[in-house]
Amino acid sequence: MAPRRVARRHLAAAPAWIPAVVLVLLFLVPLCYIGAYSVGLLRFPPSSEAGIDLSGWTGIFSSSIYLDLFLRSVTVAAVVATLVVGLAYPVAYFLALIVTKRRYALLLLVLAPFFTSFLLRVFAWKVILGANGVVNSVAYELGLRAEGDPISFLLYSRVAVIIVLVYVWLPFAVLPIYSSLESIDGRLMEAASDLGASGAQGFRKVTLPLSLPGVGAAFVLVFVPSLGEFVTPQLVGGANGFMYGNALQELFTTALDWKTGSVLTMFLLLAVLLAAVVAKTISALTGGRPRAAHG
Amino acid sequence: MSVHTELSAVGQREMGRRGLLGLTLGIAGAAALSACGRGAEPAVGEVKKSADAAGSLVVLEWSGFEVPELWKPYAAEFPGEKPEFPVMTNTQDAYTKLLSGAKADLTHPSFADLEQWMEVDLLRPFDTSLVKNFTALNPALVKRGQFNGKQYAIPSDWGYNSVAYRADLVEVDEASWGLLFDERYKGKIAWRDHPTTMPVAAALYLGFEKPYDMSDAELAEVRKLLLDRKRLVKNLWATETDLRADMAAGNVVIAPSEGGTYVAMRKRGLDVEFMDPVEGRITWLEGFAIPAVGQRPYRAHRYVDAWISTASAEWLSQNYSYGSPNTKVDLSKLDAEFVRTFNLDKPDALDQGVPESSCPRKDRYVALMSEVKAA
Repeated sequence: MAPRRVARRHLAAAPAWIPAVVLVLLFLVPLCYIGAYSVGLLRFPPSSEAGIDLSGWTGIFSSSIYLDLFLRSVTVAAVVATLVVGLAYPVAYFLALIVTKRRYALLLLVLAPFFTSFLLRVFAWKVILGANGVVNSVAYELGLRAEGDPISFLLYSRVAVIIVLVYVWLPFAVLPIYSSLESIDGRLMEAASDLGASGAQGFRKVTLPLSLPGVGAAFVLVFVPSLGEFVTPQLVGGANGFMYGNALQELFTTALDWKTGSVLTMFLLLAVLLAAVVAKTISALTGGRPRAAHG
Repeated sequence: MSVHTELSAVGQREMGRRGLLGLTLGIAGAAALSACGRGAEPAVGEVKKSADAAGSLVVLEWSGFEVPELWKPYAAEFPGEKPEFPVMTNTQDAYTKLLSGAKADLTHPSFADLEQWMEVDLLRPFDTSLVKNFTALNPALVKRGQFNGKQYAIPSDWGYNSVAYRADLVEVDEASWGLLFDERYKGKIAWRDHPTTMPVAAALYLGFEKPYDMSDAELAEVRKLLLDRKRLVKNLWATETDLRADMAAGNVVIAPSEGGTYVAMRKRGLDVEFMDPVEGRITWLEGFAIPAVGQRPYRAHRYVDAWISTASAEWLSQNYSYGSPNTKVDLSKLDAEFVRTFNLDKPDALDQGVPESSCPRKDRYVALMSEVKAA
């Protein structure tokens, strides 16, 4: 075979291999490692005693700490994802269906927070929510609190974690909802209107159902990373902000218990996968298409 | 089928699940095999300038210790070279990083943890003839870095940990670690997010003799105290920056603190006191150690020499109020208040307190703190 033809054939084969190799190297191989640590096939510090050891897996179910932390994190992540989607929807609706001029400039404005560091943004919230912060100062000026008695739950609390996570993830959620709203065929709304549907009915029976895939994507996009979040709880969560992600980080870095850390990692992954499968099944059962408007 | 046509065929179809699985297992297996091969102690030869690898010296260092004022003689000896300073958040962090394959030529552990490091052959000994200022160091402290007759760590700084509090907002009845568990200051207390600090503080308050090596019964009492008093705690500080900001903002008014953090707060004008508790302050000693994987041992020696020089030691004490093992430091150049507070003028200062020690049951302490934080 001529060398040039061989090279061309390699190039033709490349597109399928490149993503596969990236997927394998960056996702599946690390997962195999974590899996191996979780069952004792690999150990840290490296040891020649490697062998199957399932005590980490049995330990997680007998320990109330980790399951409690997991449930706590699921609750916080669900609250955050719900709030974020609820706040992002009107913004996306406004950008996709109401604004006609400078739409992309406004969209860029939504993305503006990304131009500064994540840590800086979180630290800024500490200034806003602190005992002498903006909120407490305004509350004092308005006579809503006494001197020396700041609103204490604003910082170093689970409320603070939720506030900051909502702020951090809001722009991420706007994009998929915006995308699904923008792709709705405008003639459907016109048809609904011609058939006598009010604006609210049109939204409820046409726009909302058609935008649900974007809403679902936004929810998952926020829920999954919030579930494993550890930086924000550490910075603003205070004594009661410890979450599942913090336990994970601590097991790997402080306790040097990579086995339990890997078990918790795999458990989190399996839980998220299970949730994704359930969500997909529900979505398939309910259809996701607008129902015909009756009456 | 030739390799080329097979490749092409794969490219034209989709990569099958089996192919993906095979590729994954192949790479993971090869990587795991190579990981198993690690851990063998690298050969430690004679330290020669010419044997150093090219590139900048890599110092796995505490944040704040990277300032050029602390290694001026090194900069003069190697003009144009700027060492790299990956940050270690604590000794355990450095240990984990090195054990999991991080490359560093020098690091800065607490002497309390050196035994743990020695157990896994993480370090190589110094050739002290290459560290000219070594003879100026306090021999009692130098000895603490010796194992099997060799110098594995060279002391560079020491200090105290205690309770810091806002003197303008806190009334202290008795100077005690118990202030960290005082009901009167509910919601105004910070604890430290660290595996041993809070269990040891509780142990001192409860009067236990070996706070770094508690029995099961003692650990149970400490657990009970910490779980009960956690409701008083506003935050668990992880970095000194957090603590300084929170004390300044009034978010918290009492916290376990390290001497340097107290000094920084005082220099910012905060009315802060550093307690001398009846149970004793915790004393710590740190120094430099050369990881066995280090590729620039000659320059590592020279860097340590610069760091422990009299001029650097004086800068360290003037600016951070840490003690230096260098016996030639001119104390008259230092702030008299800080010299008094930290006993910088007393050669046996490290014996006047509770020495930070190795913690044989550290996993129990870590688990205890995890439980407290998760509660």
